[in-house]
Amino acid sequence: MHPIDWAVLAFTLAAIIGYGIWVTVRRSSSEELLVGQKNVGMWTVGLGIMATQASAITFLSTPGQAYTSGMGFIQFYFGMPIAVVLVSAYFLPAYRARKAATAYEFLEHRFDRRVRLLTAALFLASRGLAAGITIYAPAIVLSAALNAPLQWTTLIIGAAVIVYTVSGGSAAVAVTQKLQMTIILVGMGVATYILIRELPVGVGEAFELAGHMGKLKIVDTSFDPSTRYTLWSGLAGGLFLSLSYFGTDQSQVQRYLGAGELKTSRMGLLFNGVFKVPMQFAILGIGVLLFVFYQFIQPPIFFNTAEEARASAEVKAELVQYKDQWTQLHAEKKAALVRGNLIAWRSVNDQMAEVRNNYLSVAEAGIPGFERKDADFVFLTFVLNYLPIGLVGLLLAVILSAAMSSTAGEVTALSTTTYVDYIRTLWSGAPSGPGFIRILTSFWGIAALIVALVAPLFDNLIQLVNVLGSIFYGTILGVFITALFFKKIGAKAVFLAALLAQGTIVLLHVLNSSGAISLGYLWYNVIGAILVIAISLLIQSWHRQKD
Amino acid sequence: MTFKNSSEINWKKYYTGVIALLAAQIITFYLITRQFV
Repeated sequence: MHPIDWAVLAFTLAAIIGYGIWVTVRRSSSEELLVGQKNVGMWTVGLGIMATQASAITFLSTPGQAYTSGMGFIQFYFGMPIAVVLVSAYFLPAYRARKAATAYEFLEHRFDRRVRLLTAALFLASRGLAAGITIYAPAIVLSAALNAPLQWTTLIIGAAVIVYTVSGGSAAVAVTQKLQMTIILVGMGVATYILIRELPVGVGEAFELAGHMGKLKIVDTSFDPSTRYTLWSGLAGGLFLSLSYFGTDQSQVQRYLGAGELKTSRMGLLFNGVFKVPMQFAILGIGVLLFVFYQFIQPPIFFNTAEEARASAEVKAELVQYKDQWTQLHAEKKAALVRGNLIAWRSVNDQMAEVRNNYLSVAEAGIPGFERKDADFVFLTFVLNYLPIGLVGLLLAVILSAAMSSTAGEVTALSTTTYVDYIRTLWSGAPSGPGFIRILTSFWGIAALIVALVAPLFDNLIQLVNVLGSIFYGTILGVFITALFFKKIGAKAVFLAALLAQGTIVLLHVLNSSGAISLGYLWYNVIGAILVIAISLLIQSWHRQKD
Repeated sequence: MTFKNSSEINWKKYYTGVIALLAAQIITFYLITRQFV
């Protein structure tokens, strides 16, 4: 990377961290460190919610997803605006009416302390590990793309987050996230502009081509359960997942409870309901334009070149023949496209897919631990190869900003939950000064960094953590839905129901992993939530009959 | 210039607006999909 890019990257990161510390450090009380400053506006809340949710992997993976599978992934977000409306109308007023600092504190008012501690523990376990992965996942991609040691990229992201979250807490997260989200949106806008400029055809023609190549099948109305993203799975699965995330995950709840007024919190939430789908559409659109771009300009046969670099000389020699075939076929494909012969294009495209498959099979057999998936590298490869000097640094700052903003949101939520739900409730003489809150934040920041640093030692850790979220989310959501909409259900019934539902989901996951059943992870959220509600209704009616 | 506080705002209008916008987006996406398939 050019020294100017390094300078832009360093300056942007230093500016974010410096700004976060400067604005908040001198006036951070314990309350501000825990829940943030009350005088924040709608934009701070709205962009904060967006920044916590949009991790670096969102910006790296989503264009790659559209590049390989088209824009159907957007259906996954269709349930989200409905969830945001429900959270805004029911969850938020309930939290504020009880002046809760965390979502779980509300459960003690509604049920009892056991239910509060159980849900807070489920959150701490899943989010604690997830915070590490939010650092680790982009660190892998950056290390491969920049040819830098993985430990370094992990340490840079982790250390930066720790510095400003410890000094300014939740208040610093709120102010830096606004800045980070602005940099992210500007950066993505600039990347789109350059991509459009580099395209050999106009945007309209590019989308028409993409449509004919099957990349614009956005809405799938089929009821086929084997199709991963359909309108129905997006509306139902997406609704439950977003309800769990926006309504019960403290890393999100903290963003909107931080505002002083109900109006600000609601507007911040609704802002996300309005802009999330168009934002994902734009990011997926970048992926589709990249696909068209790489029809004219030859793409690498495999985007993660660092993986191939690990191969022995013998394996490399074998791989070269596939690369040669790839180059030759791409020239034929481009010629077919220029002639407007889509039938010939399709036929060459199929041949290229076969050559790539052969390449991957040889690489998998010859390179120990070879990672086949390269979708995360599609956008980054374009950024590193086609963006002008200076803008490469800006786009890398975008990715690092996204990693930092979501990790910071998670780390402060973890320390707030630990303090408010556990330490303050179980230890009457607990220290309450800012120093103690900072120690807790450093603890979670360092824990996340350690998870990120040891992650390479475990296979499939990212997948495990993603699944772990789905395993716990359904139960937590079920408890909150029961609390809000089933007023007659008591603490004992919901506590037992939560334990039974959680046990069932774990059992389902064991059966799913062993291949005995086949169930998409998204369904754990739906089943878990419904089980908690149904079992607590049963227990409650049984109790009433007994009385 | 006066700002309304939360209790004076008709939130139902905002909620309907968000859902209507989602419906409009889905219909637009559906039409785009149909055009190219």
